[in-house]
Amino acid sequence: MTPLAWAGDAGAGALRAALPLALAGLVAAAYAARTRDARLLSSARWCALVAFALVVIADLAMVAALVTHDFSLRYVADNNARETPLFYSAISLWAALEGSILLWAAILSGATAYVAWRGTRAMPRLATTALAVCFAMLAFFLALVVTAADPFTRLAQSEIPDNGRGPNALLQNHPLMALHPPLLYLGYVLAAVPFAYAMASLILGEAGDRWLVATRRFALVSWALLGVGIVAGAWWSYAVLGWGGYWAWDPVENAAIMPWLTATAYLHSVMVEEKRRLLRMWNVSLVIATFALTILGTFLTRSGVVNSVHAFTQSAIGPLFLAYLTAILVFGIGLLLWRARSLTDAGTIGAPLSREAIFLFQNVLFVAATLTVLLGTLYPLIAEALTGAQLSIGAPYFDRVEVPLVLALLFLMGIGPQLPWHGASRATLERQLTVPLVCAALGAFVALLAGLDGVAPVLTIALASFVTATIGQEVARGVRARRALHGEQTATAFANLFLRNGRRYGGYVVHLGIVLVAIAVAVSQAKTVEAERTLSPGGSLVAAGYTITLDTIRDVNEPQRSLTVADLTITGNGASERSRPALVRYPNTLQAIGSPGIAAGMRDDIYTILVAYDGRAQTWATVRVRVIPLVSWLWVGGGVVGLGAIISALPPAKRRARRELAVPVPAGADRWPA
Amino acid sequence: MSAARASVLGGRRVLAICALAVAVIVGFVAVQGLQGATVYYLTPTEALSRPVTPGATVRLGGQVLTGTLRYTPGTRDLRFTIGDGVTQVRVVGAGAPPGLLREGAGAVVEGTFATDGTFHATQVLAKHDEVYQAPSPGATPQHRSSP
Repeated sequence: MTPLAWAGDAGAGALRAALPLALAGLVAAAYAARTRDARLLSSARWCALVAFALVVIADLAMVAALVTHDFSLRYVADNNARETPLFYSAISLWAALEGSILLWAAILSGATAYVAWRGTRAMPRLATTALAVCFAMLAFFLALVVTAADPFTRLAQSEIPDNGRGPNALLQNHPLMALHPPLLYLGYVLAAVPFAYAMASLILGEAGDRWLVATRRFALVSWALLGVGIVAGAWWSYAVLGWGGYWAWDPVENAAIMPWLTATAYLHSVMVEEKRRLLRMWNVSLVIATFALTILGTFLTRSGVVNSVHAFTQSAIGPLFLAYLTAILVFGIGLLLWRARSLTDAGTIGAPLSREAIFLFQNVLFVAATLTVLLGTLYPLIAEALTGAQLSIGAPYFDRVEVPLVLALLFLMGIGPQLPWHGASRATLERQLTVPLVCAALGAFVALLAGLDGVAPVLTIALASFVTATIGQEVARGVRARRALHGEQTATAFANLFLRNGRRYGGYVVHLGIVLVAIAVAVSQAKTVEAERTLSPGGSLVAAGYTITLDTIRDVNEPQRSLTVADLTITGNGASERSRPALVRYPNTLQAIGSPGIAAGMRDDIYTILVAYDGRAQTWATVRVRVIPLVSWLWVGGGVVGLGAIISALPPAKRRARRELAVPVPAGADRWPA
Repeated sequence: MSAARASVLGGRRVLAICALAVAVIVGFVAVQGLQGATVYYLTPTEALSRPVTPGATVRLGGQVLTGTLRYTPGTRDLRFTIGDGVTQVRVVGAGAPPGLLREGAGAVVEGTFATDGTFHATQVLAKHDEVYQAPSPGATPQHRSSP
């Protein structure tokens, strides 16, 4: 008997109580939106809050069951063992399907509660309608966790094992596992809020852009979490999987990047709608696409369909997610077509050299990138379904198609903010672009001097210099303007740019982060040096000026695993480091997992892999070394993107004061003003 | 205002043509890329009956036959034979084998056929039959012997 044996029952009970609450909330919110009845809205609010509390209790119950190793629960028996360290036991909440959906439900119920309590205060009718949509989505996920993906399923008394199988070995090998999945899930789930508001706006037939203003911050935060989550995933892949890369165009990765691409397009086209009242239908389409892609991604990665279309029906999750995805698309596109007339634009985009036209091009390229990734991901499934032939689409396809698109987008990222709305004159172009173009040429020159070859890497450096110069120019002008207008010191003026106009200058910080990522990817892909050799202790190999010496090969035993470690010394190029690549064996897997040794640096990462070794006498080991330049800047770039998003999302001082003026629903009234 | 309008460069038609051009170019590159990057997944028998042209990248799945797996650490020369019960194919590998590659167990090799019928693998993946749960979003294929 485990100390918290009742936790499983508590969790199961909480989920079963939350489902009817979500359904009740759905009905209450829908009627409240129709009748403007404040009491109904109040009931819906309490439904949301209590459902949130119940789902959080269920999540905590699962964590409690995991850390107390309650193997009478199937999920715990499958994903935990007595030897699993406390930290990895706790984060095993998202080690497999059922727990992940439980986490998903918790985030979604939190977002629903937020819309219920905060959203409905500013825009009662729109937010209440959106709340009904949120409740509908929550009801789907709660229905999943009480039926097909029930994490609290008990094993029969005779089936309860003495010890569980332990988490998937790859998932207990690195602390980044604590960060990467929750970030992605947060990004995925928060994309539901803009979708709910967009649907609400269509249901109500609102002509304005209120839904967009209300959810701007949600969209930004969801996008940023998704982006940082993707970079964290790349980092995890780099640090754990031991193949020396960080991105493989795997369906699982593609599933995460597609909604990020459409969300990026949306964050930019929103500005066109705000400033020029254009692209309305397009923006709603992007919100629907982003949300649908988060569900498609989950369907692809969770149903097993990626391995083979025939694996589709092996679990009930696949068909359920497909039905959910179909419902979203039918509902979303149906509403969009029904209300198409009210979504007319207040004009047209005229000049191709205007900011709105650059945004439009940028959107076209982002959608093209999304569709081509989607094509490469789904093509094997379609081919197998139609012809029965099993095939895969390799990285060359994605590299060939996506690299030119990324280069074009980098160019637009530099030029867009430099062009005024409505159109640019020749004089404007000269004033804005002379310095950046000179910097681009310098960048290309430096890249060639540094020995970078190939069109794409050199072009990447040139465009990165171009974008950086435009940002520098903008910030310098902003500082000068503040000094002249407000008489501020340079440092104060610089800080105030970000504090007072965070949306714009935070955006520039995001662009800088993307520039870092682009440089890191281009240089690390182009200039990685690889060497592999079988060494005896004392032997060494040389790669890119570094000497890697094998000192010893030894076995290490830990409670939950055993390792064979190669102790390496790295010298040369001013470095003096130790590295310990290992092969790790967990009791629940036959496979030995390569755990790379990474000596990270600002300039080069020295990535070492123990490929094979002599198991008996330990007289030799085959060691592979990859010297990967600038790859650390990829993670830094991800952090800078996150920082920029925070700056953009923080409300400026002025807006904070204005929000206090929003009319709340009067406490005693049973009708609220329209 | 009218002076500013007059000096604004281009017009709507240019915009439409540019967008269309982007769509056509991307579509063309995508279809080309798809044809170039398609790797068929075959059994040894299918590979022989098709026949696969030497030099074309394919993926073969089969069982590593008992008594055929040889790895010479000094030269990092890897040789084994995979079969599907009917047909056998000799595989010459690149570098050390992945940890799980075992005789009698499944393997997937990616590479090309030489004219003499041997298969030159650029990638060797060990396949294992244990119950496997899909990793979370962001994970990549395992057991790569080279990226």
